[in-house]
Amino acid sequence: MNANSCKEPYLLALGRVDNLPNHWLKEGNFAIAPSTPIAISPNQRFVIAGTAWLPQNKSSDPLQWIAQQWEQRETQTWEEVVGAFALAVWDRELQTLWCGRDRAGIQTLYYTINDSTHWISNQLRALNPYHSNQLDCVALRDYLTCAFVPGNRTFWQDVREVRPGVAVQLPDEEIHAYWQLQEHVTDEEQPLTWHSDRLRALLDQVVQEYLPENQPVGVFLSGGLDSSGVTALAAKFHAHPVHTYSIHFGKDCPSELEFSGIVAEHCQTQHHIVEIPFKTMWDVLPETMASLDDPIGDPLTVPNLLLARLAKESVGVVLNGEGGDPCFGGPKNQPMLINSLYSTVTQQETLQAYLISFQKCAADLPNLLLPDVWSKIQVEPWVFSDDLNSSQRYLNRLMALNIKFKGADHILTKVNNLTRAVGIEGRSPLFDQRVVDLSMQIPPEFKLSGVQEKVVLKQALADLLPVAIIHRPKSGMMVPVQLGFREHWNRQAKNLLLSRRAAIAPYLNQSLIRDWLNYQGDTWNRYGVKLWLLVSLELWLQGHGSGIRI
Amino acid sequence: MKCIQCQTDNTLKDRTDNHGRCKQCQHPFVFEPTSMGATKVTDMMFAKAIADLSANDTLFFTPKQLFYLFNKHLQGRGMLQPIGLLILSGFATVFALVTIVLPGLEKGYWGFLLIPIVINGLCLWELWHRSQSQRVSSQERGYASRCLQVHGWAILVFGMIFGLNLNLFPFFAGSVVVGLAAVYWGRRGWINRAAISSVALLEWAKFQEWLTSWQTVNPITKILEPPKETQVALNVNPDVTAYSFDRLVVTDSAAIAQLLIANNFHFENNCAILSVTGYPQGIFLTAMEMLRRNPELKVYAFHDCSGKGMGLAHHLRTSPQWFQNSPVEIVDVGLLPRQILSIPSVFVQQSTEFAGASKRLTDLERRQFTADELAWLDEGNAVLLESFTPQRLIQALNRGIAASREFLEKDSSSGGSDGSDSIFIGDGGSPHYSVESFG
Repeated sequence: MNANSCKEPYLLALGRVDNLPNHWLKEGNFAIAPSTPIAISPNQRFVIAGTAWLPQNKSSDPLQWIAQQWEQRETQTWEEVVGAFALAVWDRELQTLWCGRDRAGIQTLYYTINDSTHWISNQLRALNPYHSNQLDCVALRDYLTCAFVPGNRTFWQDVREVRPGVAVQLPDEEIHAYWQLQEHVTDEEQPLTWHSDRLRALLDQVVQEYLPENQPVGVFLSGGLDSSGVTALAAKFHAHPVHTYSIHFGKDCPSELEFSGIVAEHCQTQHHIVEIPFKTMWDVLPETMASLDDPIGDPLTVPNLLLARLAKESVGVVLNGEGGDPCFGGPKNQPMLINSLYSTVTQQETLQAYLISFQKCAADLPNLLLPDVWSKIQVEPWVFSDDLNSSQRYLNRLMALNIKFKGADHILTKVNNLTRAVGIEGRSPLFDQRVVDLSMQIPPEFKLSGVQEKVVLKQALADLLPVAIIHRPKSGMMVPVQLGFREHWNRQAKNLLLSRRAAIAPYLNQSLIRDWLNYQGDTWNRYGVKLWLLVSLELWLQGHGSGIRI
Repeated sequence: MKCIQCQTDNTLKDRTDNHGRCKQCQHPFVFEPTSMGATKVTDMMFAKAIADLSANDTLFFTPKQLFYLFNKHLQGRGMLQPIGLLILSGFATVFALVTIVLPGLEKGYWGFLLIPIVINGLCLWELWHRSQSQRVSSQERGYASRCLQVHGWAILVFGMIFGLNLNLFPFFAGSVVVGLAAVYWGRRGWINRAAISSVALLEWAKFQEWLTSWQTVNPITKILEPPKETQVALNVNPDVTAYSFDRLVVTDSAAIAQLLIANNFHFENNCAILSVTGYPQGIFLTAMEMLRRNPELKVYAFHDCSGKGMGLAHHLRTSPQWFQNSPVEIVDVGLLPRQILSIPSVFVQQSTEFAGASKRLTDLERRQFTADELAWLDEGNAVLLESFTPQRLIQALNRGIAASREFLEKDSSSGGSDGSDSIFIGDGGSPHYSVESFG
């Protein structure tokens, strides 16, 4: 069973399972839903259920391989497995259940308890019949701040997510972190080229392992360094056609097509370009939000789904360049470095600065949330505090946060959910656990040097890419949401967000949202992205929860 | 007068009976307009000014910004709008003609012609006076100038027709002369509307008293204290000082640097902010050391429209304390004289200090201005950045940086406008938003 290609969720139950239908596989107080992939260890003691993709063991059934390992190493197996997985291991002898998730958070795993029965699934929607409709207001606060739900919370108060690199023993809910993302800088005296050679050797290995056997492969190509590097490596190692996919929003909007075109030509790929009109962006949003486990308010969700749909026509596996920024010192870090310098003047706390750095609604929370909701959660701690105040070097601290939260809960979850929605498999080689580990061994000055970002990655890919890509001006993917809400979606957004029956109405201050929709006082030109966040939330709530309660 | 806390309307009797407190919630009133003389302020007016300036308590501002905003509010208050004056004069003239003048002329009372002459003469005088007044805003002066032109054309046309019909050559000739003169003065007033300096209708010391009284009752969370001139270098995490920045904004005053920093401009736009006076002193040397590590640094000079401000970019290029002999690009995104005319309402100040600074500009610096612009600067005129709201300043600086980046990316050697001429105009922003997570 591949990591993402299985559209249907799997479902497990631990507790009172007598009343479950007979076609469930039952053993004592443990039950497995019919569609769930399973494997049994050779000595018959362990049942492995769930999904896994192991790049180093492509020839064998990954669940069977894990079952064999478990028989010998039991819980130490978590540390041995390299790849993407969201698994449950049932010990028939001890009648205990372990649920574990891969280190980077490529696959998702959720659990809830209902009337002394634990329900476990890789998709949040599969647990809907087994949890209350109580919304987690802390998760709502976090979503409004970050555009995703970080940490082990989900939007539902009764459902928890297994964190990356963590195994949970049920029914006691004993949490065992089998892997921690930690700074471990080595060979500091070595020059940049030594580190970049080491990184390149690993990237060569990882990308080769990530390529599908005997079939074409796709790559989402933005034209930035990361996706261009993955494209170049795929083109170098793959004997079958390489398809690349890029987007733009019409001739009146800035795009990265110039750069993606250079890379596609350089790597001789079969290049596909998708134009996403404003109408399509709006029309596809409900379906996109319905495909996500937790809501993600990033304007690239729709383009991601449309690209995946296009890729499905020619490939079954699509690679991407996600992970380059969090692992190698991408653009998120500079504002925090500036803040650290100026905090001696502004007295702005690091945590507050980090929350604002998401550039969503952190500063608006007291006005945006209704007073009763705000009073409930304003003193609740944030999941970022520990990492932000750790003893690691400042840049590595920031990168660790990006990998653990933005990586696992936003980027990888988005890739996982949206490629799964169309029935293809999305793979992120730069988020491979070995790449993540290596990135934390590289001295920070080789990631961000002066103002040069991702220095070691640029050096590692220098021979594969045109100079125009290696030294291209810094830029992000431009999504014209500001223009969209001003000129194309304003009426629909007003109907959706300002309605008395809106799902967000019990939580959010609609008069403030009205000001945003009228573009009153948009100091930072950010109302578009905030409105996209809210529209995404509204559609997610409409699609996932009827009769939600606070 | 309404209470700012509970919005209850309190009459003078209510306020007196409650010893200056709201009859409903007992919140004290700070101002009592009936005992304030000519310049009357209410609590609601003060609260609204603060809300407007802070964009509903989201942006920090300086006391001087509040002072300028108040002055703008007070300019032209209580006066009839120029267009109203024009309409009133027209009605009065027609009414006088129909009811008094024409019946009188039939009876041979030629002296009645003085009535429309006096009405229109008074209106012309008032419009001309407003078009030149230092006590109204440049916008108001513009309206008055336009109305003066319209009035001039009306006198010209109707006076000629009237004179011809009555066979009165002196009336005909007078209408032509007065009409053309009004059109000329109106046009002149329109051109110079922003060049005339403004008089502060409120004294700074008086305003500070008001502010102190206000803050004792209604603390303002977003008002900035004067910038602290700490000389001691503050400790900065050495992990951080190893890096550099892409951009630097240099302001010509510590107050504007403080304002931008307090509003997180540095953080939102990923750029360092320093003042040419060395603010913030505690991190100034550290920041400069970090900035010098980037040979591709872009420096943006953000300054007042004054003789001193005009020299900022040149100073940064030539001063050994800044970027003398350095390859960094220095872009002027400050307020320039040619922009003043395009801005609807500016507060032009005049002083010998500004005039002196303008005359000290080098020939190279003076070469970028037209003769009119130089004359305006040499007269000691200036528009300070602090006379704009924080939101306006942030948006203008954002636009200036974006426009100059686009210009530099296209071709810095091809000449033409860098787009910075219009950065203080309008409220539109970039229609796009950039996100970084696309693989």
